[in-house]
Amino acid sequence: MTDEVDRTIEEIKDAVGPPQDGDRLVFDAPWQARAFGLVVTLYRQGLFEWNEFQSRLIEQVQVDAFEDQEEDPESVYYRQWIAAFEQLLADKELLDDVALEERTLEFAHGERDASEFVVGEEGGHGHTH
Amino acid sequence: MSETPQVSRADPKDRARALQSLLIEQGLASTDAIDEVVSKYEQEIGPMNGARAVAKAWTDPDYREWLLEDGSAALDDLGYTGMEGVDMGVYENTSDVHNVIVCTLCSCFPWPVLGLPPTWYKSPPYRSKMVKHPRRTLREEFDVDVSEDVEIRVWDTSAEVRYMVLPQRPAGTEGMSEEELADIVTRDSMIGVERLGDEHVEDLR
Amino acid sequence: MTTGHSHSHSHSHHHDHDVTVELDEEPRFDPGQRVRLNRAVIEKYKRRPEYAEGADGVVEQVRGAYLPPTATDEIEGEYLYSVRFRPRQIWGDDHPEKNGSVYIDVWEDALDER
Repeated sequence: MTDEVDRTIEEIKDAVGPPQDGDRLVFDAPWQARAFGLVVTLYRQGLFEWNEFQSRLIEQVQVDAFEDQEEDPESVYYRQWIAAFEQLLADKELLDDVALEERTLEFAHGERDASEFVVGEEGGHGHTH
Repeated sequence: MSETPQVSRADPKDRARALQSLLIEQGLASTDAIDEVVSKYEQEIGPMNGARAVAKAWTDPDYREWLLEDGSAALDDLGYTGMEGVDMGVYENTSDVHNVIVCTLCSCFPWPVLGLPPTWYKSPPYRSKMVKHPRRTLREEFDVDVSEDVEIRVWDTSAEVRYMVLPQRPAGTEGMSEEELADIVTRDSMIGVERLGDEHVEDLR
Repeated sequence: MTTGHSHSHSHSHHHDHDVTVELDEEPRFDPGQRVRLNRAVIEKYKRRPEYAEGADGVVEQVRGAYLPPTATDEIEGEYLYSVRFRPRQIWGDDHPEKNGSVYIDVWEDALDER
C-alpha cells in the first residue's frame, strides 16, 4: 500500500474533481454534512471542548495514515471524523457501545431510515419503516 | 478504539444516521439544530468573509494595523468569529515575506473567515509537504514561484490559534472600490497558496 | 479607528464558550527567548508537533493562556507560545531551505530554556 504522502496534491485535487471553490458544494454527501452538523451542534451545547474532539480526530488521522487509494479523500476524512466523534462520545459516556452497534445495524439492515429525521414526524424512533 | 468492528466496518452513512438517531433520542441534539449548522456553513460562512476583511485592510490603514495586531478583535468587529476561530492570527504577505498556512496534524482551518477547508488542504501530501518543502510545493503544486530572496513563513496550526494570510494587493487595482476588491480575493490567496495578480503576469507572456 | 483596543477575549458575537483563561503565574518565557522543544510534545500532548521534537527555536510571541487538550480538573490552564524555527533547526544542515521559518504554537511544558 503506497504511503498516502507520496500522492501529489494534484492527484488529490483530481480525485474530487474541479472546481475546488466557489461553485462546488460544501459537502459531497448528506452523510458528511450530517456528521459535521452533529459534532458542531453538540459542541455548541457545551458537551465538550473543541480540542477534545480535535485530539481524537488527530489520532484517527494518524491511525489511518495508509489508505486505500480508491476511497475518495472526503469520504476518508469524514469517516475519520465519525470515528473520532464516536470515541469522544464513548469517553464522555454520552453513548453506549452496545446501543451504538445495535442502532447502526438497524440502519444498515434497513430497519430504520433517514425519514425518522424529517421534522414533523414525532417519535420516529420506535416505528419501523 | 471503543467502536466495535461492526460499527467501524459499517457504511459511514449508517454510522452517521445511528449517531443522530441516538443523540436525538437522548435529547442531546435535534434535527433542526443540525440542519441549521449545515445550512450556515453551506450558505453564510465562507471565504467571502475573509475577502471583505482583506479588502477593508487594503483600503483602510487603521483597520489593516488592527487586523495584524489583533486579528480576533478586528474580525469579530465584522461579525466573523466563533468556533474554530477562537483566536486568529493574520499575517501579511509583502515583497519580502510570503506566509502560508497548514495544519500538519489534521485539518484546523479558520472557518469563520474562510469556510471549510478544501480537500487538498486536509490531505496527507499537503500536510507534510507544505511544512517541510514550502517553496518547492508552492511552485510544483500551486504554480506559485516565490523567489529565494523572499522568506517563506509556514504557520502550523498546532493549537488554539487559527491563521489567515493577508495577501498583497495586486497592481492595477488602484481605482477599485472595497466591494470590487473583495471580489478578487480568493480563498487560496488567504491560505497562501495563490498570489493575486499572478494571472496578469501570465497574460503578459 | 484607533489601535488602542483592549485585548480582552470577550467578543460580542462569541456564542461559544471561551477557552482563554487567566493565570496567576507569569509566562515562563519571553519573546525573543531561545527555547527547545522537549519530549512533552510527544508524551504529554500526543504528537503535537512531533516533527520538531528536540529542535531549537525562538519565542516569537506569548499567545496567552488556554486550557490545553490534556487539561484535567486540576489544570487551570497553560501558556501557549508562538515559536519560530529555521528549517535547518528542525531538519538538519542538509535541508535545502535557507530563507524560511516555521511557526508552531507550543505549550509551555513542551519548552525548555536553552
